Amino acid sequence: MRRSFAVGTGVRAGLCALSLLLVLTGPSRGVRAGDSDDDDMGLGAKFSLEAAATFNGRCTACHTYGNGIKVGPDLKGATERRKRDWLLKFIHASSGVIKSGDPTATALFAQFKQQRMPDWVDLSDKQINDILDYIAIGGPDIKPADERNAATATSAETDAGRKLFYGEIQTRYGAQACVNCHSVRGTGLRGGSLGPDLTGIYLRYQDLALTQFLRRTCISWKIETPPERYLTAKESFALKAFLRASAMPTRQSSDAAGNLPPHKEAGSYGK
Amino acid sequence: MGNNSLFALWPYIAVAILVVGTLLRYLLASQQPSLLAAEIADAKDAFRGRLFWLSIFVLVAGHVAGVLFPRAVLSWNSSIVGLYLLEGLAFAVGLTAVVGSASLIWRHLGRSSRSRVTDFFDTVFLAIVFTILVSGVLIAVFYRWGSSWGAMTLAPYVTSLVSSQPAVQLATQMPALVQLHVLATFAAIAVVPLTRLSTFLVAVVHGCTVLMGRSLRAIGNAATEWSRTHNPGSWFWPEED
Repeated sequence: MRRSFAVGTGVRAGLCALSLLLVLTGPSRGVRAGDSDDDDMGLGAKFSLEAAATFNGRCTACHTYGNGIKVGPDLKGATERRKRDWLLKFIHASSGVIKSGDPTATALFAQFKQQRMPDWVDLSDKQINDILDYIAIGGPDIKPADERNAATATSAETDAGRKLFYGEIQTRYGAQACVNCHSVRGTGLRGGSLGPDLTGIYLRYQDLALTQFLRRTCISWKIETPPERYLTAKESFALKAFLRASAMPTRQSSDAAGNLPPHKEAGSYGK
Repeated sequence: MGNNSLFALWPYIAVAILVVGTLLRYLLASQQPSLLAAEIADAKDAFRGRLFWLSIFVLVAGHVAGVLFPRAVLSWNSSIVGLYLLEGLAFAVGLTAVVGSASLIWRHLGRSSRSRVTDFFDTVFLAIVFTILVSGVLIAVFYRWGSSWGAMTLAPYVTSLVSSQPAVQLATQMPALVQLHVLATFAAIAVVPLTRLSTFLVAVVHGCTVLMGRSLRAIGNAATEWSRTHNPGSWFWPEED
């Protein structure tokens, strides 16, 4: 009986095996892509996502962007029409500016049927400046980088997509490499077979549907991470470009992905 | 029971059956401690098979490591050589376990013993283990690189079970074969207290209680000795000194 109570050699061997595994594997050594702050909207436009959300939440009820007057003036070009200091003061406390007799404010007040804009006292100067930056660079007209047609991808972007697919570079939010579950032509045995072969997926879904698809997690890869934190727009676009290249009948190189003329602008990915 | 409830509740039910069943078996065994040694010998004879148990141990250790260190596994698998090595080894060990399990079942069916009920549950347990092993091997064949996608899906599922917030979608979105593998594993856990293998668990519980008893006795003796030398009563009633 007592023999069975003793810690067996098997348990010791197990602990050794686990320790060995830890020593052998060590921390991940992948290169992280997208450490820069231009991850989400691309096309050279950099703005705070919070500013866009605040703009949508607070401004669009009374203002349009490029669609004319709603309750208040059209905000397209507002940052060119007015000085930044004046806009800051007016957004913070429009009532005070009107009361102070500011000619521009009183003129606007009269023009817009004496509709008073709420005093956004809870917004900091930085938040307002971010919103104004957002308006200045195009506001809601800015399209996310992943909505670009994959045919316009540079060879660097397609190659970045290939690296993301194979896990040679890590995604910003830690989403795992597609190759763990999927294959495309050329992956050989390296590609997983839990999910479908993605070789022809670009042709099947086309650009827009694939863009939408890549915005969702295909699997809950990390429980505590919200689904919107999956791929950045640039990563999504790069993957789409790679899937497009994989879908083409002949794959000579990443920029000869089909019969569409490749764009040769100097594109870089990640760093 | 829907698929979601199955993956949310069945693991807890299985573990509860294992714990309660083992304690009941322990209480029953403590009535007749002299029989325990014979039962252990009987269980050893019924489930003997060094290669089988070694392969089971390696597989269980690998799965536990995958659950505990999924990122380490993914990092290891990021090298193609590492991936092939791990999966190849796991596949070979899995096949060995399947053969060992089949041989154990074959031997078990040709064996006569005192208790038909225990025999029945031993057979059920072995059949479940066989199912787990065969499904595992088939998963390796049909759904390549389970160590990678398992680290992304099943490891967080098991972790979510431990944290009492079962993320069932991680398991329910898996193919039927994988679901069978998972559910059968918990079924095996639930059946253990009804098999001869439970005598090993009873022995472990017995060992723990003996160790605990010894420790408590040692603490008690140390406390008595300390109070004898330091006489804490004098702190409260110094005049009595």
